[in-house]
Amino acid sequence: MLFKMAWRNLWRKAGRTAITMTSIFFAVIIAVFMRSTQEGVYDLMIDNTVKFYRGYVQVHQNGYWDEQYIDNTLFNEVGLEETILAHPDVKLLVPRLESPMMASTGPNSRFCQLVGFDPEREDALVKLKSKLIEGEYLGPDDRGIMVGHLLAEKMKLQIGDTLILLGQGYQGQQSYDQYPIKGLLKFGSPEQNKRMVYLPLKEAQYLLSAPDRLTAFAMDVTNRRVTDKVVADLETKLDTGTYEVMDWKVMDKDLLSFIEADRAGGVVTMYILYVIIAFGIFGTALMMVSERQYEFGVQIAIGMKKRQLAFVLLLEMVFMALMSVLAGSLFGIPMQHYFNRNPIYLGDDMAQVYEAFNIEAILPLSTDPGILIDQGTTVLFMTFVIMIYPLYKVFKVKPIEAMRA
Amino acid sequence: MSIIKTKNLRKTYYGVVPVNAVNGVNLEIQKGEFTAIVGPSGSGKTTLLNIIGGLDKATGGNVWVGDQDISQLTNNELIDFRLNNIGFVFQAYNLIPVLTAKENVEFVMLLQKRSKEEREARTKELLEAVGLGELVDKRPSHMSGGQQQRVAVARALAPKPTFILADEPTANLDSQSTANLLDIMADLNRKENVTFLFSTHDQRVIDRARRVITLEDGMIVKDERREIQNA
Ligand SMILES: Nc1ncnc2c1ncn2[C@@H]1O[C@H](COP(=O)(O)OP(=O)(O)O)[C@@H](O)[C@H]1O
Ligand SMILES: [Mg+2]
Repeated sequence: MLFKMAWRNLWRKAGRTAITMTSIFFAVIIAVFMRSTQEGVYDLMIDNTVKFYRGYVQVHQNGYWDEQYIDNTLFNEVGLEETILAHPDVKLLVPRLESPMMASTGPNSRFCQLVGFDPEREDALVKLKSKLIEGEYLGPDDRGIMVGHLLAEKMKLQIGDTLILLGQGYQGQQSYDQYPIKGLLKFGSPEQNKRMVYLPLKEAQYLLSAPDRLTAFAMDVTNRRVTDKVVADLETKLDTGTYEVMDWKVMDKDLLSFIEADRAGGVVTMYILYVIIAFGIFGTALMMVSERQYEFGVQIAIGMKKRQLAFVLLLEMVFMALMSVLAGSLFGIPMQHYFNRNPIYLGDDMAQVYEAFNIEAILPLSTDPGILIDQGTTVLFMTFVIMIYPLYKVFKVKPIEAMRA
Repeated sequence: MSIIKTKNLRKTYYGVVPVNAVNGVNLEIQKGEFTAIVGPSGSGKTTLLNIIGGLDKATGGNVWVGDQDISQLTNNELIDFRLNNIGFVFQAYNLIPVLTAKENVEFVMLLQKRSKEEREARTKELLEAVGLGELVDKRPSHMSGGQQQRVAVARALAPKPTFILADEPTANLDSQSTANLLDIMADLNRKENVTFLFSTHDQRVIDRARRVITLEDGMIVKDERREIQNA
């Protein structure tokens, strides 16, 4: 009966209840939209720089990350790969030997980043084949290179032309050789398009006089949230005097701190939305309490306890908040999925700004259901806090005074 | 033994000048009485009934209901005391607006945690007794003032209280509804031996009381019993 009373009370002033609910509904939708776009952009950033390039976790020679020299490469000893791959959360292990080099055509020289790579595994991690826009994808024993298309453009090179690579190899050896360009690559980030040079691993190790040496094992893990565990587990299995294990949060500190700062910035806007919701609920609850003084008086007189009255009022507000949040979710979930699949394009101006962060100028929405759940619980929790004062007023009702009014 | 007894009951409101709304009332009501408290406006009727009903605290003196001295009870104990001992009928707007006639009557028994079967049977019986068998599913806003007061009487009886307190129950009713309500009350009094204590300043209501207590300035100035045919 108390539930019935609460439910019916809610619709006594149906217009007002509808207005309050609509305002909560829109606030929830806006909040979900904002949080989803934020998280969506973060996902995009992390995917571009981490998932599809660096890998969530890497193993290096101890000290490599702080001093990224070819001399700090690890020796790929027998059994190392098996040990790492034995971890249940490690899906893929990708060996790389990277080094900055000079790329030259004779008259024309530029800095580039040489990546000695395993063609099959690299493709499995970063979908490298899909980035090939011209020419052919290299096999493991090919003696040729694939380069970022802007690098080729700036140096006026085409498929079949030869590029000279020179730089410093292992233990101070001079590295120098020339390779035919077999493929052109196009990445999401312009920076990569201007710099990347891919050479099959064996050939790269030979060029750099570093047989069986690697700058890193990059790995893909089952999902972003297990990286801490993978790092901890691998650190117990591997000799940490020889190797270092790092996840993206350490390697991409800048990205992580940018995301965290940006998230914190969004909090202010969220608070404004919450204040709107809070005032809606608070105002409605206070009006209900003052309108019903007389009947509260009667109800207490005939033997209803104040806590029962308070319970009814709280129920009304919880119903109201729940329904609004539910409606918000029913609308929010399809919204998240729609804009995830059809991201909003931010326009050419924004595209330039976003290039700085190596990301495309699109706004895909995160489909993380956690965002909706967070909003829902926040609104409900807020309802309880807001109701403290109106409920306190219910406990203060004195029947004869209430009925005299 | 009397079911209501007051001794030297006083209530003083301390305003600019202190008002002795109830000024030394000694009163005894026996089971089955049909008593009217009468007196001009401001004579203290409402204050007296509120104190007897445990809604207000006296400034001095005592009230016993049965052998319970209710001035000793805390506010929370008073709520349970009212629920189980006193049926209230107020001037108007007695009912919970969002509940139907049936639910309003049932509600107090629910507060008493009575079984569903008992609640339903008694609700039906009481609504028929006040002549509203038809209106069970109507909400107060769809009933006339007289019908609402009759539902209020049914609700007041539902918890099987020791007595019923009614403060000017007919004040907002036309003469037809007034007569009708009085018939029902008198009937319940005669057949079920329900004790009624009600206030009024309406002569037609006074005429039907078997005991009339007259208040003036918070004091009993007259207390007469009479035999009447309350058919
Ligand atoms: N809350 C109050 N504060 C001050 N004076 C009051 C209050 N309630 C009633 N009174 C005074 O007490 C007296 C009795 O009032 P009341 O019991 O309402 O009389 P009645 O019901 O017979 O009209 C009146 O003089 C009234 O003004
Ligand atoms: Mg009065």
